[in-house]
Amino acid sequence: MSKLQTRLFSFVLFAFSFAVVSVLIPRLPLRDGSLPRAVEIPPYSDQGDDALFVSNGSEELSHIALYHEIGSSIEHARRADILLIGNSRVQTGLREAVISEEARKLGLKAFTIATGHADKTRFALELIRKHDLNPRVVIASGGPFVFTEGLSPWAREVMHMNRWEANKRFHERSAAWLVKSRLHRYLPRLDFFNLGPGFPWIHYRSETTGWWRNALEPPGRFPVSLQPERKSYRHTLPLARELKQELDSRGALLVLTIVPYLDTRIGHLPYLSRELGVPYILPSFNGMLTADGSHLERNSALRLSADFWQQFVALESVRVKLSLE
Amino acid sequence: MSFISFSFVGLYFFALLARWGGPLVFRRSHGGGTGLRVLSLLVLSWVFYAWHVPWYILLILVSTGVDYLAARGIHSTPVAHTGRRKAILTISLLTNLGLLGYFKYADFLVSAVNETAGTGLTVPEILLPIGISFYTFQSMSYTIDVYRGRIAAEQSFLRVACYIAFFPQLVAGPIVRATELLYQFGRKRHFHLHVFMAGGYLVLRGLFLKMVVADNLGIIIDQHWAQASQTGQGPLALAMLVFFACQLFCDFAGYVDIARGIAYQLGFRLPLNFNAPYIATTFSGFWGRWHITLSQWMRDYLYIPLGGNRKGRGRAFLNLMLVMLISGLWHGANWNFVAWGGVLGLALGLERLLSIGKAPRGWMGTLTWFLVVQLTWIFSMGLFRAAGIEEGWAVTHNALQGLMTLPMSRLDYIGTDGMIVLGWWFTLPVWLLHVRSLLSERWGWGDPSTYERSFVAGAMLAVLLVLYNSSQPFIYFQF
Repeated sequence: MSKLQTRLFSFVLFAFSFAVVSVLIPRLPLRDGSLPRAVEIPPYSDQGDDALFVSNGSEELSHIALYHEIGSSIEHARRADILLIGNSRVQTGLREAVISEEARKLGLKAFTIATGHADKTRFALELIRKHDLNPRVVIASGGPFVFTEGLSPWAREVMHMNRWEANKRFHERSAAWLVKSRLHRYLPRLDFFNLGPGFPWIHYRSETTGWWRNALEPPGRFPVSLQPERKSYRHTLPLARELKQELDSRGALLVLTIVPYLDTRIGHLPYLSRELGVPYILPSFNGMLTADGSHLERNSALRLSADFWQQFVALESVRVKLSLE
Repeated sequence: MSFISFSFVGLYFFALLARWGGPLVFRRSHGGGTGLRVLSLLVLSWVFYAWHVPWYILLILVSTGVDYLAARGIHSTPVAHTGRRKAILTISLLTNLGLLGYFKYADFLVSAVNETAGTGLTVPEILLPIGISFYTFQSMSYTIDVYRGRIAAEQSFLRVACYIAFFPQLVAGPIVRATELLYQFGRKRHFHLHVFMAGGYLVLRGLFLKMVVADNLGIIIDQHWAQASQTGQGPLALAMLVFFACQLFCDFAGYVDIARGIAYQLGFRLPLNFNAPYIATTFSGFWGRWHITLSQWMRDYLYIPLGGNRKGRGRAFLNLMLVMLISGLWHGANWNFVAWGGVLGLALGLERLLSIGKAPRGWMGTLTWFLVVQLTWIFSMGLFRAAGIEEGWAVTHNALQGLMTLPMSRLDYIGTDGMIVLGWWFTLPVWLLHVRSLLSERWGWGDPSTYERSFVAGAMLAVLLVLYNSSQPFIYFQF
C-alpha cells in the first residue's frame, strides 16, 4: 500500500468508528437499564444580542459579571429606576416580558440583580454598596430565608476572586459554552447525573435588563402551596432593617413581595412591612404551578408578573417616587 | 493553566505557530538553539504557569536562576575543590527544598506542632503553587547531575529556563531529567505528519481518559464516598476503591498522555510515565510502571545516596521505607499520604526481603502475587482519597469486609444503584487498555498498528464529544 492509500484507509476507519460509536452510545442502557438523557442545548443566538450565558445548573456567571463588573450589566443597573433584588425565584417568577416591558412603556428602566444559588439579601446589599447603585424603587422579593444573614458559598468564592481570576473564570466558561452550544447541534450531549425534576435549566442573562432568559426550563408541573406560618419572624428583621437603612440613605423606596413556590411562607411580609414601614405586595397564587417545585413555570409566572405590576403601580408611594401620573 | 481549558487552546495554537510556522512557510528546518523559538517557548511556558497566580512566576524564576548559577558554579569549580562544590550544591538544594517546604508543607508542619505540643501557632493559609513538587524535583536533578558530572552545565540561560518551565510537563510531570530534555532544545527539527498525528493520538487518548473516565468516575465517587465510610457498606466501599484506582490512573496517565502528545507535536520527546501498572505482578514491577519518572528520581537521588541495597538487607529495607514515606509525603502534606507511602513501602520491602519478586513462580504463584499486589494498591486508595487517616481506614476496612463477604453476597446492592452500574461501565476503558498491553507484552501482539489506532481514535473522539465531563481539576495539580 502506498503512503497515500494507508492514510486514506486510516481516515476511513477513523470516520467509520466515529460514526458508529456516536450513533451507538446514546442507545446504550448504561445507567440502571434506563437510557441517559440527551440534553438539548438551544443556539446561543436565540437569546438576543445583549444576552450572556450564565448557567446550566452549575456555578452562575451572573455573580461574577455583577460583582466584578464584567460587561455592561452594572452600567445598566446604575441607570435603573426600579431595581429588583432576590433569588432565582424572582428571576423566574417576575418575568422580563411583563416587568421590564411595562416599565419601559412608562419611560422607566427596570433592572434585576437577583441571582441564583439561593443567595440572600446580603449579596444584593454588597452589590448596591460596591457599585453605588441609586435606583428610585427597590423591589425585594423572597421567602423569609432571603432576609436571613449569609452568603452562598459561590457568592463568597466570587467575592474572594481578584479581577484576574474573575475575568478568567467568566470568559473561559463563556467560551466553553459557546463551543458546546454549537457542537451539540450536531452531536448529542448525554447527561447521566442531572436526571432529577429540577433539570435541565439553561439560563442566559440580559446585560440590559439583568433578567435571565431561560433557554431551557424543566418540564415538571408542581402546584404552589402554602405552609403554616412560624410563630415569629423576628430573625428576618436585622438584615431587612439594614437594607432599609441603606436604601433610605440613597433615597430609594423599598417594596416587599414574594414569588410563590412549594410550601411558601408569607408571614414575614406583613411583619417586615409593619416593622420597617414599607409597603408590600402579595399577588394572587391561585392555581399557580412550578416547573421544578421551586420556580414558577412560564404561564404562571406571566400571570403573577401582571398581577404584581398592577398592584405595584397602584401603590401611592411608588407613584410618588416614580413620578407617575 | 489547565490543558482542559480554552485559554490553553489559544496558548497551544501560538506554541505550534512559533514552532512550525517558520519552517512550514519557508520550507526549511530550523535549529532551536538560543533563538527566537526557544524564547517564544519559554515565554509561553511562563504565561502557562503564571495563568494560575501571576506572582508565583517568581518562584519558578528563583528556582531557575539559582540552579542555573549553581550548575555553572559547580561546573567551573575544579573537582578537587569538593567543599566548594558541595556548598554550591547545598545552596541550590536548600533553595528548592525551602520553597517546596514553605509553600507545600508549612501549614502541615504548624498543624503537626500544634497537635503534638499543644501550641496555638497560627496555621498559615498558603495557596499551593501548582506543579511545585514537579518542577523543583526536575530543577534539583539538573544541579545534582552537573555535580555528579553526568551532564555539563548549560551555558544558555534560556535553555535551562525552558527545561524547567517546559509547559507540557510543567505542572504534573513526567519529571524529566536534563539529560533527556535539555539537548532537545538545540536540535534541528523537520515537520513530519506521522509524528504530528502520533502526538494527536496521545492528546486524544489523554483527553478521553481524563474527561470521560476520570471525571465521570469522580462525580460518582464524590456522591458515594461518605456513604462508603459508614459501617456495613462493604460492597460499596470496594466499588469506590476500584473506581478511585481507575480515576487516579486515568487522571494522571491522561495528563501525561496529553503532555507527551503536545511535546511530540512541538518536536520534543518526553519519557513514558505510565505503562499499564494494573498488569504488574510484583510490587517492584508496579513501581516500574506507575509514575515511572518519580520512582526513578527517588531511586537515583534518594535511595541510592542513602546506601540503597549496598549495606545489607536490613538497611536496604529501612532505606526503602524512608523513600516510600517521603514519596507519600511528596504526594500531599497530610498524614494519610504518609500512611499510604508507609503501607506500600512495607509491601515493597517485604517483597524484597522475601525475594518474592525475583523467585521463579508458576502461573498460580504469579496470579496469587498479582492479586496481592493489585489488591494492596486498591486498598491503599482509601488512604490516598480520604481527607484523613480515620476516614481512609474506615473505607478500607469496609472494603476489606466487602471483599471477605463477596463470595456469600449476590452483590445485589451494587446492582441496584444505577450510579454504581454506570461507574463500572466507565472503568471499561481502563481494563481494555491494560488487556491490550498484556497482549502486547505476553502474547506478542506488538504495538497498535496505524489502522488500529485510527479505529480506536474515531471511537474515543465520539465518546469524548458525547460523554465528556470537565468538572474536576487534575488530581496531581495539587501535588
